[in-house]
Amino acid sequence: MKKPVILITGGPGFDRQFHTEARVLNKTYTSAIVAAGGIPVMDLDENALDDYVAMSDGCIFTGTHAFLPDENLSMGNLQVERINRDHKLMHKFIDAKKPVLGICQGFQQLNTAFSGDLCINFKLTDGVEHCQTTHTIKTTQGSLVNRLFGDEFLVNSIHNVRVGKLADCFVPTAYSPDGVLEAYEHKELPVYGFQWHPERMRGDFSGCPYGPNTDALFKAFVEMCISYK
Amino acid sequence: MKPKILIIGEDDFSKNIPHFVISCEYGKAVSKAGGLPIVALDAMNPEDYVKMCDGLLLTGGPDIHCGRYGEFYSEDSEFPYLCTNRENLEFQICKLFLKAKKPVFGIGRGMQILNVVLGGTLYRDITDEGNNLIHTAKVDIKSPKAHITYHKINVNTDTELSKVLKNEEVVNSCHHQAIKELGENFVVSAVSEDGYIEAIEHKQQNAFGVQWHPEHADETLDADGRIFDYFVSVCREGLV
Repeated sequence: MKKPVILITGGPGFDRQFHTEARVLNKTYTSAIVAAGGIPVMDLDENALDDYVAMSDGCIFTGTHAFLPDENLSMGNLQVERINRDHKLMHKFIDAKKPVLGICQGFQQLNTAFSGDLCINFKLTDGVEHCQTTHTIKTTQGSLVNRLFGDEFLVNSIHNVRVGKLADCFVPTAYSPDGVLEAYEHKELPVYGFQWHPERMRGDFSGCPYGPNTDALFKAFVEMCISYK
Repeated sequence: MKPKILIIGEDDFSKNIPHFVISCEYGKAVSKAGGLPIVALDAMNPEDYVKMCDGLLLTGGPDIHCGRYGEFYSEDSEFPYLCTNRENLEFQICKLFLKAKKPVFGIGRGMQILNVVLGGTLYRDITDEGNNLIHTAKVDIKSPKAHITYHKINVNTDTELSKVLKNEEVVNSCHHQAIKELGENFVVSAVSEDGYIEAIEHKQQNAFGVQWHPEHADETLDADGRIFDYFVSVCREGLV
Protein backbone atom coordinates (compact mmCIF):
# COMPACT_ATOMS: atom_id res chain seq x y z
CA MET A 1 0.00 0.00 0.00
CA LYS A 2 1.25 3.47 -0.83
CA LYS A 3 2.37 5.45 2.21
CA PRO A 4 0.58 8.75 2.79
CA VAL A 5 2.56 12.01 2.90
CA ILE A 6 1.85 13.93 6.11
CA LEU A 7 2.76 17.61 6.26
CA ILE A 8 3.90 18.73 9.72
CA THR A 9 4.30 22.49 9.95
CA GLY A 10 6.37 23.05 13.10
CA GLY A 11 7.09 26.37 14.73
CA PRO A 12 9.52 29.28 14.48
CA GLY A 13 13.06 29.55 15.78
CA PHE A 14 16.59 30.33 14.71
CA ASP A 15 19.34 28.51 12.83
CA ARG A 16 22.48 27.79 14.84
CA GLN A 17 24.96 28.60 12.10
CA PHE A 18 23.90 32.11 11.01
CA HIS A 19 21.20 32.86 13.60
CA THR A 20 18.76 33.42 10.74
CA GLU A 21 15.04 32.66 10.99
CA ALA A 22 14.44 28.90 11.02
CA ARG A 23 11.69 26.32 11.32
CA VAL A 24 11.74 23.98 14.29
CA LEU A 25 9.91 20.73 14.90
CA ASN A 26 9.90 18.42 17.88
CA LYS A 27 10.77 14.92 16.68
CA THR A 28 8.06 13.26 18.78
CA TYR A 29 5.56 14.26 16.05
CA THR A 30 7.63 12.80 13.23
CA SER A 31 8.39 9.54 15.12
CA ALA A 32 4.67 9.05 15.74
CA ILE A 33 3.90 9.40 12.02
CA VAL A 34 6.80 7.18 10.93
CA ALA A 35 5.73 4.47 13.40
CA ALA A 36 2.17 4.66 12.02
CA GLY A 37 3.39 4.23 8.41
CA GLY A 38 3.29 7.79 7.06
CA ILE A 39 6.00 9.90 5.41
CA PRO A 40 6.51 13.13 7.36
CA VAL A 41 7.55 16.27 5.47
CA MET A 42 7.82 19.95 6.37
CA ASP A 43 7.00 22.95 4.16
CA LEU A 44 9.52 25.81 3.79
CA ASP A 45 7.85 28.34 1.47
CA GLU A 46 4.88 30.37 2.73
CA ASN A 47 4.04 31.38 -0.86
CA ALA A 48 3.56 27.80 -2.07
CA LEU A 49 0.89 26.56 0.36
CA ASP A 50 -1.30 25.18 -2.47
CA ASP A 51 1.61 23.03 -3.69
CA TYR A 52 2.05 21.54 -0.22
CA VAL A 53 -1.69 20.81 0.10
CA ALA A 54 -1.64 19.13 -3.33
CA MET A 55 1.32 16.85 -2.49
CA SER A 56 0.15 15.93 1.04
CA ASP A 57 -2.52 13.46 2.14
CA GLY A 58 -2.98 15.00 5.59
CA CYS A 59 -1.56 17.62 7.93
CA ILE A 60 -0.61 18.01 11.59
CA PHE A 61 -0.58 21.44 13.23
CA THR A 62 1.70 21.18 16.23
CA GLY A 63 2.46 22.76 19.56
CA THR A 64 5.11 25.41 20.09
CA HIS A 65 8.76 24.67 20.44
CA ALA A 66 10.67 27.90 19.86
CA PHE A 67 14.40 27.30 19.42
CA LEU A 68 16.71 30.15 20.46
CA PRO A 69 20.40 29.22 20.13
CA ASP A 70 21.39 32.57 21.67
CA GLU A 71 19.68 34.37 24.53
CA ASN A 72 20.08 37.70 22.69
CA LEU A 73 17.74 36.56 19.93
CA SER A 74 14.08 37.54 20.15
CA MET A 75 11.06 35.83 18.61
CA GLY A 76 9.56 39.20 17.58
CA ASN A 77 6.73 38.64 15.09
CA LEU A 78 7.67 35.07 14.21
CA GLN A 79 4.78 33.52 16.20
CA VAL A 80 2.28 35.88 14.54
CA GLU A 81 3.63 35.00 11.08
CA ARG A 82 3.43 31.32 11.96
CA ILE A 83 -0.22 31.62 13.03
CA ASN A 84 -1.12 33.54 9.84
CA ARG A 85 0.49 30.87 7.69
CA ASP A 86 -1.09 28.01 9.64
CA HIS A 87 -4.56 29.63 9.45
CA LYS A 88 -4.30 29.77 5.64
CA LEU A 89 -3.09 26.16 5.49
CA MET A 90 -5.90 24.98 7.81
CA HIS A 91 -8.54 26.44 5.49
CA LYS A 92 -6.85 24.95 2.42
CA PHE A 93 -6.60 21.44 3.91
CA ILE A 94 -10.20 21.53 5.12
CA ASP A 95 -11.42 22.88 1.75
CA ALA A 96 -9.59 19.94 0.15
CA LYS A 97 -11.34 17.62 2.70
CA LYS A 98 -7.98 16.12 3.68
CA PRO A 99 -7.49 14.79 7.25
CA VAL A 100 -6.10 17.24 9.83
CA LEU A 101 -4.82 16.89 13.40
CA GLY A 102 -4.43 19.94 15.64
CA ILE A 103 -2.33 19.43 18.76
CA CYS A 104 -1.91 21.95 21.64
CA GLN A 105 -1.29 25.29 19.88
CA GLY A 106 -2.47 23.63 16.66
CA PHE A 107 -5.72 22.66 18.47
CA GLN A 108 -6.17 26.26 19.65
CA GLN A 109 -5.36 27.90 16.30
CA LEU A 110 -7.55 25.49 14.35
CA ASN A 111 -10.42 26.74 16.53
CA THR A 112 -9.61 30.42 15.91
CA ALA A 113 -9.19 29.78 12.15
CA PHE A 114 -12.92 28.88 12.10
CA SER A 115 -14.11 31.79 14.31
CA GLY A 116 -13.76 30.20 17.73
CA ASP A 117 -11.87 32.05 20.46
CA LEU A 118 -9.36 31.42 23.27
CA CYS A 119 -8.87 32.30 26.95
CA ILE A 120 -5.26 33.34 27.47
CA ASN A 121 -3.65 32.56 30.84
CA PHE A 122 -6.91 30.98 32.01
CA LYS A 123 -5.46 29.87 35.34
CA LEU A 124 -5.94 33.47 36.57
CA THR A 125 -9.67 33.46 35.72
CA ASP A 126 -10.52 29.79 36.19
CA GLY A 127 -8.25 29.08 39.16
CA VAL A 128 -6.85 25.84 37.69
CA GLU A 129 -3.30 24.85 36.74
CA HIS A 130 -2.84 22.94 33.46
CA CYS A 131 0.90 23.43 32.93
CA GLN A 132 3.40 20.58 33.45
CA THR A 133 0.87 18.24 35.03
CA THR A 134 -1.26 15.15 34.42
CA HIS A 135 -5.02 14.83 34.71
CA THR A 136 -7.90 12.66 33.52
CA ILE A 137 -10.28 13.53 30.71
CA LYS A 138 -13.85 12.32 30.12
CA THR A 139 -14.78 11.58 26.53
CA THR A 140 -18.05 11.77 24.59
CA GLN A 141 -19.69 8.50 23.44
CA GLY A 142 -19.06 7.74 19.78
CA SER A 143 -16.15 10.18 19.36
CA LEU A 144 -12.79 9.07 17.94
CA VAL A 145 -10.99 9.34 21.32
CA ASN A 146 -13.80 7.47 23.01
CA ARG A 147 -13.67 4.63 20.47
CA LEU A 148 -9.89 4.39 20.74
CA PHE A 149 -9.26 4.93 24.47
CA GLY A 150 -12.56 4.67 26.39
CA ASP A 151 -14.68 6.92 28.62
CA GLU A 152 -11.95 8.24 30.93
CA PHE A 153 -8.14 8.20 30.87
CA LEU A 154 -5.01 10.09 31.92
CA VAL A 155 -3.32 12.67 29.68
CA ASN A 156 -0.38 15.05 29.95
CA SER A 157 -1.05 18.78 30.24
CA ILE A 158 1.30 21.58 29.13
CA HIS A 159 -0.67 24.77 28.35
CA ASN A 160 -1.66 28.20 29.68
CA VAL A 161 -4.23 28.90 26.95
CA ARG A 162 -7.57 27.11 26.57
CA VAL A 163 -10.38 27.16 24.04
CA GLY A 164 -13.17 29.65 24.93
CA LYS A 165 -15.96 29.64 22.36
CA LEU A 166 -15.72 26.53 20.18
CA ALA A 167 -16.04 27.14 16.43
CA ASP A 168 -19.44 26.09 15.00
CA CYS A 169 -17.93 23.43 12.72
CA PHE A 170 -16.56 21.44 15.70
CA VAL A 171 -18.17 19.37 18.47
CA PRO A 172 -16.51 18.89 21.89
CA THR A 173 -15.35 15.30 22.51
CA ALA A 174 -13.46 15.51 25.83
CA TYR A 175 -13.24 17.70 28.96
CA SER A 176 -10.95 17.75 32.00
CA PRO A 177 -12.58 17.40 35.47
CA ASP A 178 -12.29 21.20 35.92
CA GLY A 179 -14.14 21.92 32.70
CA VAL A 180 -11.34 22.68 30.22
CA LEU A 181 -12.04 21.54 26.65
CA GLU A 182 -9.51 18.79 25.89
CA ALA A 183 -10.60 17.47 22.47
CA TYR A 184 -12.98 18.24 19.62
CA GLU A 185 -13.74 16.90 16.20
CA HIS A 186 -15.25 18.32 13.02
CA LYS A 187 -18.98 17.71 12.44
CA GLU A 188 -18.44 16.29 8.94
CA LEU A 189 -14.75 15.99 8.08
CA PRO A 190 -11.79 13.96 9.40
CA VAL A 191 -10.47 16.86 11.50
CA TYR A 192 -9.49 16.26 15.15
CA GLY A 193 -8.05 18.50 17.84
CA PHE A 194 -6.33 17.70 21.14
CA GLN A 195 -5.26 20.10 23.86
CA TRP A 196 -2.94 17.40 25.29
CA HIS A 197 0.05 15.89 23.53
CA PRO A 198 -0.74 12.41 22.19
CA GLU A 199 2.65 12.37 20.40
CA ARG A 200 4.23 12.24 23.87
CA MET A 201 2.09 9.34 25.07
CA ARG A 202 3.48 6.62 22.83
CA GLY A 203 5.12 3.52 24.26
CA ASP A 204 8.68 4.60 23.51
CA PHE A 205 8.44 8.08 25.04
CA SER A 206 9.93 8.49 28.49
CA GLY A 207 7.60 10.58 30.62
CA CYS A 208 4.27 9.06 29.53
CA PRO A 209 1.48 10.00 31.97
CA TYR A 210 0.30 6.38 32.55
CA GLY A 211 -2.51 6.91 30.06
CA PRO A 212 -3.13 4.77 26.99
CA ASN A 213 -0.44 4.16 24.36
CA THR A 214 -1.49 6.60 21.66
CA ASP A 215 0.05 4.67 18.75
CA ALA A 216 -3.56 3.73 17.89
CA LEU A 217 -4.48 7.39 17.34
CA PHE A 218 -1.68 8.03 14.84
CA LYS A 219 -2.42 4.71 13.15
CA ALA A 220 -6.07 5.77 12.79
CA PHE A 221 -5.02 9.16 11.39
CA VAL A 222 -2.60 7.64 8.85
CA GLU A 223 -5.35 5.20 7.77
CA MET A 224 -7.73 8.12 7.21
CA CYS A 225 -5.06 9.77 5.05
CA ILE A 226 -4.73 6.55 3.01
CA SER A 227 -8.47 6.11 2.57
CA TYR A 228 -8.76 9.74 1.39
CA LYS A 229 -6.31 8.86 -1.41
CA MET B 1 5.00 21.58 -12.21
CA LYS B 2 7.69 22.72 -9.78
CA PRO B 3 10.55 20.29 -9.12
CA LYS B 4 10.47 19.06 -5.52
CA ILE B 5 13.76 19.78 -3.74
CA LEU B 6 14.49 17.73 -0.63
CA ILE B 7 16.35 19.66 2.07
CA ILE B 8 18.17 18.01 4.95
CA GLY B 9 18.30 20.22 8.01
CA GLU B 10 19.80 19.96 11.45
CA ASP B 11 18.62 17.03 13.53
CA ASP B 12 19.75 17.57 17.06
CA PHE B 13 19.02 18.14 20.71
CA SER B 14 17.85 21.16 22.63
CA LYS B 15 16.67 21.15 26.26
CA ASN B 16 16.82 17.32 26.00
CA ILE B 17 14.03 17.30 23.40
CA PRO B 18 15.15 15.98 20.01
CA HIS B 19 14.07 18.30 17.20
CA PHE B 20 14.63 19.32 13.60
CA VAL B 21 15.86 22.83 12.74
CA ILE B 22 16.18 24.27 9.24
CA SER B 23 17.07 27.82 8.21
CA CYS B 24 14.30 29.46 6.15
CA GLU B 25 16.98 30.87 3.81
CA TYR B 26 17.34 27.53 2.03
CA GLY B 27 13.60 27.44 1.36
CA LYS B 28 13.59 31.02 0.08
CA ALA B 29 16.51 30.39 -2.30
CA VAL B 30 14.92 27.20 -3.69
CA SER B 31 11.50 28.78 -4.20
CA LYS B 32 12.98 31.92 -5.78
CA ALA B 33 14.64 29.64 -8.35
CA GLY B 34 11.28 27.93 -9.06
CA GLY B 35 11.53 24.78 -6.91
CA LEU B 36 9.32 23.51 -4.10
CA PRO B 37 11.38 23.06 -0.90
CA ILE B 38 10.53 19.96 1.15
CA VAL B 39 12.22 19.21 4.48
CA ALA B 40 13.01 15.53 5.24
CA LEU B 41 11.88 14.43 8.73
CA ASP B 42 12.66 10.72 8.89
CA ALA B 43 16.03 8.98 8.89
CA MET B 44 14.56 5.46 8.87
CA ASN B 45 13.02 5.40 5.38
CA PRO B 46 15.15 7.64 3.15
CA GLU B 47 14.03 5.80 -0.02
CA ASP B 48 10.54 7.33 0.42
CA TYR B 49 12.02 10.80 -0.07
CA VAL B 50 14.13 9.72 -3.05
CA LYS B 51 10.97 8.53 -4.82
CA MET B 52 9.06 11.69 -3.90
CA CYS B 53 11.66 14.34 -4.80
CA ASP B 54 13.49 15.52 -7.94
CA GLY B 55 16.67 16.84 -6.32
CA LEU B 56 18.59 16.91 -3.03
CA LEU B 57 20.00 19.97 -1.25
CA LEU B 58 22.61 19.20 1.41
CA THR B 59 22.96 22.20 3.71
CA GLY B 60 25.64 23.84 5.82
CA GLY B 61 26.50 22.83 9.36
CA PRO B 62 29.13 21.52 11.75
CA ASP B 63 32.16 19.31 11.02
CA ILE B 64 31.71 15.85 9.54
CA HIS B 65 33.00 13.10 11.85
CA CYS B 66 36.58 12.51 10.66
CA GLY B 67 36.08 8.72 10.87
CA ARG B 68 33.94 9.10 7.74
CA TYR B 69 37.15 9.71 5.78
CA GLY B 70 39.46 7.36 7.61
CA GLU B 71 40.88 9.54 10.39
CA PHE B 72 40.38 9.51 14.16
CA TYR B 73 40.37 11.93 17.09
CA SER B 74 43.50 11.17 19.10
CA GLU B 75 42.20 12.94 22.21
CA ASP B 76 38.73 13.62 23.60
CA SER B 77 39.41 17.36 23.38
CA GLU B 78 39.69 17.04 19.59
CA PHE B 79 36.03 16.09 19.19
CA PRO B 80 34.23 18.98 17.54
CA TYR B 81 30.50 19.76 17.75
CA LEU B 82 29.03 16.71 15.95
CA CYS B 83 25.59 15.82 14.60
CA THR B 84 25.46 12.04 14.33
CA ASN B 85 21.76 11.56 13.55
CA ARG B 86 21.78 14.14 10.79
CA GLU B 87 24.99 12.75 9.35
CA ASN B 88 23.54 9.23 9.12
CA LEU B 89 20.60 10.55 7.11
CA GLU B 90 22.83 12.71 4.89
CA PHE B 91 25.12 9.83 3.97
CA GLN B 92 22.28 7.40 3.30
CA ILE B 93 20.16 9.77 1.29
CA CYS B 94 23.05 11.25 -0.70
CA LYS B 95 24.05 7.74 -1.86
CA LEU B 96 20.45 6.98 -2.84
CA PHE B 97 20.05 10.19 -4.88
CA LEU B 98 23.36 9.57 -6.66
CA LYS B 99 22.32 5.99 -7.42
CA ALA B 100 18.98 7.22 -8.78
CA LYS B 101 20.91 9.75 -10.94
CA LYS B 102 18.88 12.60 -9.42
CA PRO B 103 20.62 15.98 -8.94
CA VAL B 104 22.46 16.71 -5.69
CA PHE B 105 23.67 20.16 -4.63
CA GLY B 106 25.86 20.50 -1.54
CA ILE B 107 26.47 23.77 0.30
CA GLY B 108 29.35 24.17 2.79
CA ARG B 109 29.24 21.02 4.91
CA GLY B 110 26.92 19.67 2.19
CA MET B 111 29.67 19.88 -0.44
CA GLN B 112 32.02 18.10 1.96
CA ILE B 113 29.41 15.36 2.52
CA LEU B 114 29.11 14.85 -1.24
CA ASN B 115 32.89 14.60 -1.54
CA VAL B 116 33.30 12.19 1.40
CA VAL B 117 30.39 9.99 0.26
CA LEU B 118 32.35 9.32 -2.93
CA GLY B 119 35.58 8.59 -1.09
CA GLY B 120 37.13 12.06 -0.80
CA THR B 121 38.88 13.47 2.27
CA LEU B 122 38.97 16.79 4.16
CA TYR B 123 41.44 19.11 5.84
CA ARG B 124 40.19 19.02 9.42
CA ASP B 125 41.27 22.58 10.18
CA ILE B 126 42.69 24.87 7.52
CA THR B 127 43.64 27.39 10.16
CA ASP B 128 46.34 24.81 11.02
CA GLU B 129 47.57 24.55 7.44
CA GLY B 130 49.40 27.87 7.36
CA ASN B 131 46.65 29.63 5.48
CA ASN B 132 46.02 33.33 5.72
CA LEU B 133 42.61 33.10 7.44
CA ILE B 134 40.54 34.49 4.62
CA HIS B 135 38.05 31.65 4.97
CA THR B 136 36.60 32.51 8.32
CA ALA B 137 36.76 35.49 10.62
CA LYS B 138 36.92 33.29 13.70
CA VAL B 139 36.59 29.61 14.50
CA ASP B 140 35.38 27.78 17.56
CA ILE B 141 35.02 24.10 16.73
CA LYS B 142 32.95 23.55 19.87
CA SER B 143 30.28 25.94 18.60
CA PRO B 144 28.22 25.78 15.41
CA LYS B 145 28.02 29.60 15.17
CA ALA B 146 29.69 30.84 11.97
CA HIS B 147 31.61 34.06 11.33
CA ILE B 148 31.43 35.38 7.82
CA THR B 149 34.10 36.96 5.68
CA TYR B 150 34.46 37.41 1.89
CA HIS B 151 37.09 36.47 -0.70
CA LYS B 152 37.61 35.93 -4.42
CA ILE B 153 37.41 32.60 -6.23
CA ASN B 154 38.67 31.59 -9.68
CA VAL B 155 36.32 29.43 -11.70
CA ASN B 156 37.82 26.74 -13.96
CA THR B 157 36.75 27.09 -17.57
CA ASP B 158 35.33 23.99 -19.28
CA THR B 159 33.40 23.04 -16.13
CA GLU B 160 29.60 22.97 -15.92
CA LEU B 161 29.68 25.62 -13.20
CA SER B 162 31.66 27.97 -15.48
CA LYS B 163 28.46 28.23 -17.51
CA VAL B 164 26.75 29.99 -14.60
CA LEU B 165 29.73 31.56 -12.82
CA LYS B 166 32.09 34.23 -14.16
CA ASN B 167 35.85 33.52 -14.31
CA GLU B 168 36.21 35.41 -11.07
CA GLU B 169 33.56 35.81 -8.37
CA VAL B 170 33.42 37.17 -4.83
CA VAL B 171 31.81 34.78 -2.35
CA ASN B 172 31.07 34.72 1.36
CA SER B 173 33.15 32.38 3.51
CA CYS B 174 32.79 30.90 6.98
CA HIS B 175 34.42 27.49 7.17
CA HIS B 176 37.49 26.03 8.81
CA GLN B 177 37.48 22.70 6.96
CA ALA B 178 38.12 22.17 3.25
CA ILE B 179 38.37 19.42 0.66
CA LYS B 180 41.78 17.69 0.60
CA GLU B 181 41.44 14.78 -1.86
CA LEU B 182 38.59 14.68 -4.35
CA GLY B 183 36.01 11.91 -4.26
CA GLU B 184 35.62 9.57 -7.21
CA ASN B 185 34.67 11.23 -10.51
CA PHE B 186 34.77 14.77 -9.13
CA VAL B 187 36.61 17.68 -10.75
CA VAL B 188 37.43 21.04 -9.21
CA SER B 189 35.16 23.82 -10.53
CA ALA B 190 36.58 26.71 -8.52
CA VAL B 191 39.47 27.52 -6.19
CA SER B 192 40.14 30.36 -3.75
CA GLU B 193 43.02 32.80 -4.17
CA ASP B 194 45.04 30.76 -1.68
CA GLY B 195 44.34 27.49 -3.47
CA TYR B 196 41.55 25.79 -1.51
CA ILE B 197 38.80 23.96 -3.36
CA GLU B 198 35.69 26.18 -3.43
CA ALA B 199 33.46 24.19 -5.80
CA ILE B 200 33.34 20.66 -7.21
CA GLU B 201 31.24 18.87 -9.79
CA HIS B 202 30.75 15.26 -10.84
CA LYS B 203 31.98 14.31 -14.31
CA GLN B 204 29.06 12.06 -15.17
CA GLN B 205 25.97 13.28 -13.37
CA ASN B 206 24.36 16.37 -11.86
CA ALA B 207 26.10 16.41 -8.49
CA PHE B 208 27.98 19.51 -7.45
CA GLY B 209 28.85 21.57 -4.43
CA VAL B 210 30.15 24.93 -3.31
CA GLN B 211 32.08 25.76 -0.15
CA TRP B 212 30.40 29.16 0.29
CA HIS B 213 26.77 29.89 1.25
CA PRO B 214 24.75 31.09 -1.75
CA GLU B 215 21.51 30.85 0.30
CA HIS B 216 22.78 33.37 2.87
CA ALA B 217 21.25 36.42 1.25
CA ASP B 218 23.66 39.11 0.14
CA GLU B 219 22.42 41.24 -2.74
CA THR B 220 25.95 42.16 -3.81
CA LEU B 221 26.82 38.54 -4.65
CA ASP B 222 24.86 37.87 -7.82
CA ALA B 223 26.46 34.47 -8.43
CA ASP B 224 24.34 33.14 -5.59
CA GLY B 225 20.99 33.39 -7.37
CA ARG B 226 22.46 31.97 -10.58
CA ILE B 227 23.69 28.85 -8.87
CA PHE B 228 20.24 28.07 -7.39
CA ASP B 229 18.64 28.75 -10.80
CA TYR B 230 21.08 26.26 -12.30
CA PHE B 231 20.35 23.60 -9.66
CA VAL B 232 16.57 23.90 -9.97
CA SER B 233 16.82 23.84 -13.79
CA VAL B 234 18.72 20.52 -13.79
CA CYS B 235 16.14 19.13 -11.32
CA ARG B 236 13.37 20.24 -13.70
CA GLU B 237 15.01 18.30 -16.56
CA GLY B 238 14.60 15.11 -14.55
CA LEU B 239 10.89 15.69 -13.85
CA VAL B 240 8.70 12.84 -15.04
